[in-house]
Amino acid sequence: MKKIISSLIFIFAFALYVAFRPHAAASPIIVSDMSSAPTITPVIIYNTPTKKATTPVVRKTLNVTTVKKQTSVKKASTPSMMHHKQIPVMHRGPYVDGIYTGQIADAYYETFQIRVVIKNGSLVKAYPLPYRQYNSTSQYINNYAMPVLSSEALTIQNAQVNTISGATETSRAFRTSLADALHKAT
Amino acid sequence: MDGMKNIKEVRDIMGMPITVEVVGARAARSVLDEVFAYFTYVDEIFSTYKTESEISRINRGELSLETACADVQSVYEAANQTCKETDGYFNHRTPDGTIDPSGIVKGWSIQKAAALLKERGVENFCIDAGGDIQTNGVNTDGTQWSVGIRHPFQTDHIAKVVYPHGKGVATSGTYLRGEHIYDPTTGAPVVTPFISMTLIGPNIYDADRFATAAFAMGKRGMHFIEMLSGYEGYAITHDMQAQVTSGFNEYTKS
Repeated sequence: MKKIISSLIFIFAFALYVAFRPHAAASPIIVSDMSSAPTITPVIIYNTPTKKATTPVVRKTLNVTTVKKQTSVKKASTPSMMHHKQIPVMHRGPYVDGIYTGQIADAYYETFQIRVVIKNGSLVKAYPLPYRQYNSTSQYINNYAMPVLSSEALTIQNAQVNTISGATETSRAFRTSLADALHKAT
Repeated sequence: MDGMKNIKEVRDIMGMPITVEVVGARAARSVLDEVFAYFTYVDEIFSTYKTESEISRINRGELSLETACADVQSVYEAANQTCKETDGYFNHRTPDGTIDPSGIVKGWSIQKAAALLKERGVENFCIDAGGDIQTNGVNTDGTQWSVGIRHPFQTDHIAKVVYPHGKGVATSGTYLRGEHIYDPTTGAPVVTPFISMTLIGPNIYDADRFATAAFAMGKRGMHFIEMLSGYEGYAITHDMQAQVTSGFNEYTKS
């Protein structure tokens, strides 16, 4: 019994130490720092564990972006252009390697923005920026227990149909923002 | 089977392409003109882009809701009701305090246009306003109307074919305006795994308003649809997967 009590006290003391040691407080500060960044924070959409071959590179690039955002906040004029130092730049495609963000395109009902990733001079990824900010709280809320819904692979079909659902306006705006992002990459 | 008589026309109204196709003996040019005239009227009244629309005048304080036309009042009521039904995830009030009912006007006007066609005796039709669709009856081949769900990146292609059987089909995308992508209960940005969410609902008005709300809910949006009786959803995720509600694939059969 005595042993149990003394080990409980030890565990409690250790827990106190862990909770109050100075370094423990450091990381939440960085998080709040990021969430208060005024404009576009790096997109973490692709920061999920299930990824294909190109993803580690992309993730690395995004991390570089994060650092740059925090250290050079005043250089607002070129926020979308980030050169990647770890990867040798080979200009096989027409563009300069990096991550570029297109202008916000108006889709009448909606507005949005495209970010492109250029690797070896070629466009390897283009995706919309759905959020201006990202923080762990909202991620926690959105990860709250969900029923299992069935998933299936996304296919590309050529079938003849009478009409198509999906915002045509946003597709047009997608191309507008994409064209702008690629223009910045030249 | 020989194709039935059909007339199809696309016009740019409300800042988007609107396609109306009517099929059968009662299909007539004059009916199409009437439908397009209706959409033009809706645009005149509700557009936040037109300075003389009733909505713009209300937002400038020149017109009160009580003295606005009946359509404005009924849309306003519908928006309020939807806001309640979706726990505030559908919100027609912008952060600066003005009203922007465009999230509800689209589905509402398609629904009204469909009712107008039925009133004129047209039983077979397909109305597509900027990707939100209401069909009825059969197409010119005499078979069920087919609707493709646009592929998010290969925009000239489709990801899925559905047969709505007279139900409404609406797609909400990632590219929603600012006020829609913040969680109204916390003010925090909504992190969503989805690029687009397509809803099949009892009619286009309901499908459209719940598609908007469900998309704003992020990951929980599909849960919301799953719990909503009479609705099925198909969502495309950023990692190129499709998530479907339990009854969705019933609509993939003609």
